[in-house]
Parts: sequence; C-alpha cells; structure tokens
Amino acid sequence: MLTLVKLIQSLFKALNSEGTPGQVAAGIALGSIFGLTPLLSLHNLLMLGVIFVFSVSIPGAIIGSLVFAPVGFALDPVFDALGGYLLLDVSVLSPVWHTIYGTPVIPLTSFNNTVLLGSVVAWFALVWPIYFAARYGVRRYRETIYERIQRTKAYHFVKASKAYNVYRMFRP
Amino acid sequence: MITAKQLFRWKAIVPLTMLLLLIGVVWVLLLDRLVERSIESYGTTVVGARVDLESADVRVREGVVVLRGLQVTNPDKPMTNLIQADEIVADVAMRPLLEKKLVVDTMAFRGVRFGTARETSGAVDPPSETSRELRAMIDQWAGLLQNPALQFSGLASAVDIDAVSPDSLRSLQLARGTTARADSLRAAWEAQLAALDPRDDIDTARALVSQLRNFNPLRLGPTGVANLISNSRSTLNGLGSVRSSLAAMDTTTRAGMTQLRGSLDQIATAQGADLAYARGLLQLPTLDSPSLSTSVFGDAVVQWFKPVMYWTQVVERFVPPGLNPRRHPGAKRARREGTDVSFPGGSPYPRFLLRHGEVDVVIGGEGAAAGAYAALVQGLTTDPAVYGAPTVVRVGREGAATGPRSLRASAILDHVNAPSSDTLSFAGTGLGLPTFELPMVNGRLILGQGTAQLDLARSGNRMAASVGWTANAVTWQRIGAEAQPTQDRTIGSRAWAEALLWDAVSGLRSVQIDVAFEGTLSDPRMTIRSNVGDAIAGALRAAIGQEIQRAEQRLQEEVTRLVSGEVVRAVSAVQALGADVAERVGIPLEQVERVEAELREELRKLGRLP
Repeated sequence: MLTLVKLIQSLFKALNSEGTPGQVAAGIALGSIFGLTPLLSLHNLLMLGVIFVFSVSIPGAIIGSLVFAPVGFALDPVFDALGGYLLLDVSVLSPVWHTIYGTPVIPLTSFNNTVLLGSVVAWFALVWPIYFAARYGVRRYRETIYERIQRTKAYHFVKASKAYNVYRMFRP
Repeated sequence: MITAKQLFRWKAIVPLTMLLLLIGVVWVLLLDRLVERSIESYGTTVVGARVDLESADVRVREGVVVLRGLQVTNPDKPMTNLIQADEIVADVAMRPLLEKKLVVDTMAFRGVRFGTARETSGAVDPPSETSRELRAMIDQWAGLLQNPALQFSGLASAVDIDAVSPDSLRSLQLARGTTARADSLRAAWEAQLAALDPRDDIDTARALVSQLRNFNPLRLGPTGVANLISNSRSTLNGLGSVRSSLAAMDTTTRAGMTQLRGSLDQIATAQGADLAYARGLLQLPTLDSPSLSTSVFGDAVVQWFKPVMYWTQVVERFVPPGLNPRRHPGAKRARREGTDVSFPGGSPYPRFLLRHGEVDVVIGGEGAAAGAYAALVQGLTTDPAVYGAPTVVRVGREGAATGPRSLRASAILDHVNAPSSDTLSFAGTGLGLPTFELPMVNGRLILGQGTAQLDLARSGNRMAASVGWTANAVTWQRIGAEAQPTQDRTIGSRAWAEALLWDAVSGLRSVQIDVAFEGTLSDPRMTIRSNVGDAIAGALRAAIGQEIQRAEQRLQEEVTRLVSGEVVRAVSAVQALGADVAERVGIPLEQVERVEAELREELRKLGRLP
C-alpha cells in the first residue's frame, strides 16, 4: 500500500512541480467530469489524456473527481431527464443524433444513453463556474487556512511524519 | 505569456502512453468476460428468465466469436432450459463493431438440446419490467378466455321460474324504451304538423288554379287581372315555403322511423340473449358439443397456449417495425442505468443482425423425438426496417431414428413495415403430446404420442391461430378419489356428474382436439372442438336430455310471457306511427307539390312566369 502511495506521490512530484491556483482549479474543473459522468466511458479516457498532457494539477483533478462523484450520483435523475429530453424531444437535434449514430467510433461513447448525455452536457455547462469557484477557493485557502495550519504544532508534527507525504499529494 | 513548455507536460507523454496501453491490455483481457456478461444481461431481459453462458472467446483479428455452454431458461419452468447449446461459432463483421452494431454473417450451433434440466433455478427475481408487463398482458388475455364450468346443480331442483327477473331482461327494457320513444316522437311530430297544417294553403291554391283556368280578362278588367296574378304569385311563394317545411319534416320523420325499426331489430337479438341469460340462471348444462369441449379443455388449453402468446409479444416488443427512435434499458452499472436510445434510420447496420444461421440438432435414443434436425435462420435482426427483409426460420427433420416420422416448422416474421405480421406453422407426427389436467371430469388425459399442428398468423394486434392434437392411444387417469357408492348420486349432484363424465370419456382411446383462437389481446375468442365433447354431449343427452329440454321449454315460455306483451306494444306503436307519418306528412306533401305545379303551369300560360 505504502509503495503504491509513494509511487503515486513520486509521479505527482514529477508531473506537478508547479501548481498555481489556476492550474489546480483547471484540474478540479476537468477532473469533475469523472465524478459527474459515468466513469467507464470513452470520453473520460480522452479527458484523462488531456489532464495528463496539459499542465493542470493532477491532484486537483483527483479532488475534482472525488468531490463531484456524490454530486453525480445525486443528480443522476436530472441527467436522465435532461438526456432523454435532448435525445427524444428536441426535434432540431434529431438529424444530429441520426448522423452520429451511424458514424464510426462515436456510438462507442454511448452518447445515446440518457444519463451519459445529460451528465456530459451538464458538465459542459458547469465547467467554467467550477473553474472560477475553485480558483477563488484555492487562493483563499492559501492566503488564510494554509498559513494558519502551517503555524500549528500539529502541522509540524504531521510534516515530520509520513502522513505529510500523503497530504502533499493533494496540496497544490 | 504562457509558453508551450508551460502549457504541456511533456514528461507525461510516456506514463500516459503506458497507462493507455495498460487500459488497452486490460480491455482485451476483459473483452471475453464483457461479451459474456452483455449476452447474459440482454438475453435475460428479452427472455424474462436467466440466460447463462459458460464462456465467450472473442478473436478480434479473425472476426470470430465462440460462445460455449449457452443455457436459456424456460421462463415458465425455471428449472428447465428452453434451449441449451454446447458451442456457438459466430463470424462477425468488423466494420459495424465500430458503430457498436453486431452483424453476424454466419452462425453455427453445435450440441443443441431442448428441455434439459437445470442445476439451479433460472427465475429472475424480481423479473424485468418488460417481462412483468408482458406476463400481466398475457394473464389478462387468459382471464378473458376463462370458461364457465359445466353446471349440473340446476338439475337437482325444480326449475325456479321466479329466478328470472323481468328487470334483468334486456329485450323487455328495449321494448319499453322503443314504445316510449315512438310515443314521444308522435307527440313531437303532431305538434309540428299542427303548426304547419297545409290544408288552407292547398285549398286557396286550388281555387286560384280554377280561376286562372277560366280566366277572362274582359270580365275582370285590368285591376282584377293584376290582383289575380299578384295573388297567384304570392300563393305560389307560400306553397314553396310549406313544401320545404313538409319536405324537411318528411326527412326527419323517415330518419326517426329508421331508428325505431333498428330498435325492433335490437329487440329481436336481445330476446335470444335473454333466453341464454335466463338459462344460465338455472344452471343447466349445455348439450352443445363445442361448448362442452370448451368447458372441458378451455382452461388447460389456454395455459398451454400462454407461452406461444408470450413469445409473440416478446417478438413484437423487441422487434418493432419502422425507423422511429427506440428506447432500451441502459447497461447495468453502479450509477443509474438510464435509457439507451437507438436511431435505426441513422445507420446502414441494425443493432443486431444474424444474416445466416444454421442449427444442427441430433437427438439420440429410440424415443419419439430421436433423429436429426436442421434449422435455418435468415435475417434475424432487431431492426427489420434497416435490414429490409423479413426474418425466416425453417426447421426440418433430416432423418428419424425410429419409424416413419415427420416434422416441419417455419416462421416468417415480417416487421419491416407497420403493421408487423408473423406467421408460424408447425406440424409433426409421432411427437410427444401434452397431458391435460381436467378437473371437470376429475381426471387427467395423457395424449401420449400423436400428431400435432399449430398455425398462427398475427397482423398488428389481431391474431388467428389453430392448434390440433390427434392421438390414438390415450390414457385416462383419475386425479381425485373415485366417488364412493355411499355418496349421494342423485341427478345434479357432484358425484353423479363426475361419474357420468368419467364414464363418458374414460373409454375413449382416440382423441382429437382442435382449437381456434382469434381476435385481439383485449377481445379474444376461443373455440374448441373435440370428440371428447361429443362423447360428453351424447352421455348428457342420454342421461338428462329430456329434463333439460323440459326445463328449457318452461324457461322459454316464461321469458316469452314476460317479454312478448311489451314487444308487441313496441312493434304496434312503431307500425302505427309509420302509417300515420305516411298519411299526415307524405300525402299533404304530395298534394302541395301537385297544386304548386298546376299553379305554376297556369301562370306560365299567361306568360307571367318564365
């Protein structure tokens, strides 16, 4: 277990040497797609590549996916209704669905599933609000909470322990 | 300004590639299991009972899928498999897979067996929504075909004429209603006729016609001539108005009379129904052979036919005609499954298509079914409108192990356009036939081996089917205790009825049962003809024919007595009204038309009309 933690930690250290609030917020916003939409989907594989290749915070993406996973579960009925509406009730979109249904590879994304389509559309609508809110939150965290935590005895104690290494994984 | 170095994480390319490779390897390793679970899951949804697969072997490069150990549970018998196949080899087209469509060019089944026992129950708990819905529909259909049991209790007691209440006789109510309506129409028409009385207009017109015929301008003078012509024109206009009103009334009264005559026809029909209803109240058994056959075999036959109905509905539900978007339950996952919507018109490939399938079945042993069979399936698909041709299934027996036997079966499922239609035909000799539990005769009919035939044609929501069984060495078994000699065996008692029916049928060694279903799910009809019904009818006629005839005659007399007076009144009221209407509307109308024509003619002679 510890080896796995260290492996992940070293991977993050190597990949995330710098972490501005914007990068962390971008990581959270992009990572939220893993929580909001059904995880085992082709679009999430694509998003994984984007997160890896672009210099956004990977710990941020993990936080985003963890925070938004329960939100995704809770909003599934809304996604279901939204996807159903888009797929069946919006006649303007009907030719689009018919065309891409017969286009190679695209049907493998399961775009024609009501929950998946609804959640992806919702994520597109939410990605910028999530980004700005996260950027504001990270800034406030670093200016206030993180400064105060650094001055506590518990912080110094934890910092000296291995647990701090784990914590650093999630620090920007 | 952000540079490319800052924007991209070049160091991640290698780990990312490795991760993608890892995912690819895991996917390939799990592909077999994925296919296996997909088939099990979708199959279970369609069948309504468990579909198990031992293993799936997907050879992507060869485009071949090998399925082993397929077991499809019979939804009506969860401990029995509908079909079991040792190995299925499918030659899959690769291009459609990129569109998530499964097009199988050829498929071969090996080691196919039917009706094999299962080690564990294949029931699905809870059953899928579709399965529940379809079963509820079929149960409702079966409920509509429930047959009244044969009634003998009425024979035990004297015919109770008082049981026939006049209020429950529909013909009586109809007759009363018809009389009342005739009276009401008469009153309304009389009021209209009184207001419209044309006699004065006719007399005035006749007088003017006479004056015009004897017209002498010298004697009348210029003023008299002008007055005569003016009066004639004014009367002509008045006659036109009266004629229009009479003609309108004539049309109304004719329509009213047509309705009343229709009511008389309804009364005649209702009288027959009333007699049948009254007969039912007295609980007398019918002596009609088809009715007896339906009473004896109805429930058992409906139970036997339920799976056929279930499968026709499954086909209709999962293979709808047309190109409209379709909804299917999404794949099972931790999150909500949602609904998968398919758009058949958007792709040249159906979601699933089996172009050509061959099944070779060899049933060993010396039994009736032993032999080699070959089945051919063509164009089995979920989207017939995309494939553009019906599904064809043919089954034949290639060689029999014992005796001259034959079997042929074919099905054509044409769901290309709405309304969809299915035809199914099956005939075989030397087959194991069903066993029927017949509580009415307190016995079990084991048909044993014989000839079976099934023909079914469904178009839209209408269905017609015929089923026939012929067996020449049947066995009868008691299913309850035989009536004791000490039991009450008076006419109409249960023991008497059971003994009578058992004696009538248990000696039969050859049995023929012909069943016909028709109608819709919500309005089904079933007719059964059988020599068993004939035998029971014969026995009943011999034993109680005279009692039944006497009881029926008394009943008919009573119903006629209750109804006839009112029916005669209704018929008289309608006939009198008809005659009255002809006299009071038809004749005046004729007179008005005649005098109007005469007046017009005289005026024309004077040159005052074109």
